[in-house]
Amino acid sequence: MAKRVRGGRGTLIIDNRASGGTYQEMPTLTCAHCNCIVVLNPERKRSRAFCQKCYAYVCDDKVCATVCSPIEKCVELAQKYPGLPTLPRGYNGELLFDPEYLKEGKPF
Amino acid sequence: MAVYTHGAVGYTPVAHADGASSLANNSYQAVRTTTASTLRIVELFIGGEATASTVNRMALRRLSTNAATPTNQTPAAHNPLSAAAVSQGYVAATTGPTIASTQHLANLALNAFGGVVRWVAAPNEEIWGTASTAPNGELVLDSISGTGVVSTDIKFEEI
Repeated sequence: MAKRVRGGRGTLIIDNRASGGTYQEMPTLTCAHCNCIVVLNPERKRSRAFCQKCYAYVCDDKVCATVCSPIEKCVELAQKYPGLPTLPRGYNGELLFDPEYLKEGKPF
Repeated sequence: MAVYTHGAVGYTPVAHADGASSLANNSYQAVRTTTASTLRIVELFIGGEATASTVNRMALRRLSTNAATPTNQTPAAHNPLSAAAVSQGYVAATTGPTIASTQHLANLALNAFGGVVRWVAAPNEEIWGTASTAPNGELVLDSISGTGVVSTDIKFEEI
């Protein structure tokens, strides 16, 4: 069965017209791994990083683009191991916990 | 899922670097889960109320230490039939929270002199918080730089 690609567009509106600025409305994605908001640049030519396991778009951080750490799995781990830093990521997107935890519950 | 809003009105943010500890009361807006709750942020709103042009760089970040004895403010349910939210919002605590030195979830800049920022998540693109314990259980919306008066809203869905 075909899966639907995750990555519907969120919206970011910045309205500075009251102070003489501009009105901007931009599409956003949320990284399926680190959960941060990515404002999409309409001028971008490079393809976006995509996780084939999550079947979802991820941000450009190196770790997010190479290690599958779905945020839903991280939420599950946070509930199972309170205090394990599963939701935050380092400044370069690096995991702050042992990635072995991500293998828990996998059927193969 | 039930949707709730917590608002913080007319406060003067303090510029908090990552790792800032014991945040002063009424200088931030935070939402907190309990051991029995999980939330997903579906919308952020920041409205500038400064009386002169001033740029605020606001950020949504996680905490490395939760606030001690926060003054809970019950978020408003969007649907009157929804049960009361288990997760809570707060802007004050006996000891304020400590911001984690980790990746920011969102950086939102605006001119606080009447500027408005609104971010709305697409379905399944929300920002998660769960299980109460730091650094997973609470999120804070505050300033990295700029101290123009703002009002902020965090809208979340409770799972």
